[in-house]
Amino acid sequence: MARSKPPSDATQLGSGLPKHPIWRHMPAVLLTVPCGLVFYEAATTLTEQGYASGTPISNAALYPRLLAGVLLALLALQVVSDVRSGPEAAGAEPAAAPDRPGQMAYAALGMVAYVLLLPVLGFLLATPVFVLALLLTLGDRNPVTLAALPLGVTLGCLAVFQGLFNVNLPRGLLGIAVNL
Amino acid sequence: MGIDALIAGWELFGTPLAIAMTIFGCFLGLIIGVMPGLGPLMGIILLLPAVFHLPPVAAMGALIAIFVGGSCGGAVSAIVLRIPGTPIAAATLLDGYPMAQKGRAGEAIGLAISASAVGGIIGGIILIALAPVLADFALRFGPPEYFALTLLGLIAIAVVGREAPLKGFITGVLGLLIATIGTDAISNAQRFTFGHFELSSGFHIVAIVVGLFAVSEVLFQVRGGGLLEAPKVPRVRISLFSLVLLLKHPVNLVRSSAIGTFFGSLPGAGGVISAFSSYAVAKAQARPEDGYGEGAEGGVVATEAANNASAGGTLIPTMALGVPGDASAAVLMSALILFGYFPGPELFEQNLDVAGGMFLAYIFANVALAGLGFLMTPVFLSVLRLRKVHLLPVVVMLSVMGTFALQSSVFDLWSMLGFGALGYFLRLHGYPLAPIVIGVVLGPICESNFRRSLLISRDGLSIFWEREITFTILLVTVLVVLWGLVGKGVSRWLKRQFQRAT
Repeated sequence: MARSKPPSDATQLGSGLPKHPIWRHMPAVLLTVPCGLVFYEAATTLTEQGYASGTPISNAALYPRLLAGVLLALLALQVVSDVRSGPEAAGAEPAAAPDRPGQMAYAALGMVAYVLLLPVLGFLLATPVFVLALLLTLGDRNPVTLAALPLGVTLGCLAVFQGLFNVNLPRGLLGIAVNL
Repeated sequence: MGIDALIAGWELFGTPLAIAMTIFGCFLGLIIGVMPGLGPLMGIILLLPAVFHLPPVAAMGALIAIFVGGSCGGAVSAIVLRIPGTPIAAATLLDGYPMAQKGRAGEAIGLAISASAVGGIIGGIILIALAPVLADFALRFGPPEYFALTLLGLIAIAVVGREAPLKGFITGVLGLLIATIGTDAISNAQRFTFGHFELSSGFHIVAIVVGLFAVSEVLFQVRGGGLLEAPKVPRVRISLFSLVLLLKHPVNLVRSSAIGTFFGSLPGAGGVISAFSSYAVAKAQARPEDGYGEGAEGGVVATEAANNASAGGTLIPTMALGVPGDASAAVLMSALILFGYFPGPELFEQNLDVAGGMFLAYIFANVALAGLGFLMTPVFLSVLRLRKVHLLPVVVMLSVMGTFALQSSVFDLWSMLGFGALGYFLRLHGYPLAPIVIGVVLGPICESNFRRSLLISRDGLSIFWEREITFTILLVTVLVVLWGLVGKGVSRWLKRQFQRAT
């Protein structure tokens, strides 16, 4: 009897987390960066401005430094707790099966591309293209919804945000806009 | 004082726009609550950018109504599909789904809606009675008391009901740290802006919450798959006979509402704990032939009355003390602050009409809930047939355009995406996101009161244990921290007892 293939190399199905032990400590490692920035800013920019010492009112660095210190201590405790508790990360959110990290990555990249292209192409061009691309990425192949939803969402947003709330939606370099 | 607030609030709430927005908010809340994976918080977040164009009470009415509608909507999918639309509806399926299996889905939904509405109104009456009294007591508070109170609120939310309290502490402190970015309100120093003028006011709270919750939720939903599946939803008809059924459980209804309001008023406890607690009490008080767990009407009444009453309870510390009970209340509080009204005694002293308008909106939202629930359940059930693949692009576009609409700023969109990535990453590692939002909302209050306390103190930190009220609040905070560290074993024991009982 053939054995079922184990989950793909990068991701462990069911836990949503890659297998390598260092991955479990990534939040702790990454969250030390803002703490470092707090101490760096306090020692440089805030000191130059004269806001890193003096009374509690003038010392704007006092409270963030305190928080950064507390955060570092908590992160250290978390790493110790993770090491002691074994391989399963407590409370880690499981990715519901079937796990589709690739599809998710494409959707995330689509959002980044949309925000990048919105000021260039303008709302009216970028939005239907983005919604169509998102639908295709998510697996929709129904021609009716592929035609109707991008158009409907674009017009709906236009009506609500521009028509109702008077928001100036991005016109892009070509200056394409509809006056409602 | 509660009556004075209602009279003053009627001028602001008694307008066609405010009433219409409250009904619309309730409708939207019900729809979002019905859909598994979304919930009242998501509804509030998605509507938040849009309501800033409305008068304050109309806007707060819409947001509060989403909170109310969303707290009830989850029961519909729990009863029909055995999938709670929201975590707070999880207890409802214990008896709601067996009722549906016996061909009583319509009665179960009608019972859930009417119990939610009555429970919400009882919670609202307690809110109106207690919030002004608590705010009046809080007039004695100075900076040290407020600092201690914000600390208690934040720590309670990080600890209570959490599997990993340490992670809750971490994200709470991260939220406080994020709140320090921008111009320091006390000294005018530019902090952590790195020369970018866009950061001089810090990150916009809406960009933070939309990113953390909406964007990360979309990514999780995509990753989870099942995007093209359309659930088979049976046709259900609701009859007014459910109201007669509700009247058979008056004691259960009032008791569960009181339990819900109590737990709702404790920061961090919220709807889930209140629903399960009231269910456990109702079951303990019931006769064996009531058949709890096999489709007992009392089970649905207990859980639904409690979880909507807890929404009223959550608003008590939020409005009276400025300490939000959960993430939804934190977003409501930040909306109120963005409108220029600060929750706490100041709200009741200087803006009694706004506080009263919010009370009225809360009560009216529960009345609207009953009406909409009975009339439009077929619409909510049809929403359940929507495929995720068609829903997610709409959520993404509402998030993006809603965030952009705040200040017509592309920088806000990048902030939203950044916080979306952070939220996804933290959720993947089991870090709760609610404490970040609470930290960001409470951050400026916490910092200003901490620094003012040190200024008025002649002996540094000693001011925090020399004053009786501050000392008491900090003592409770220490107990909450200890609960977080040792309470896991106790809660495991309680869970075992509950499972044995059910």
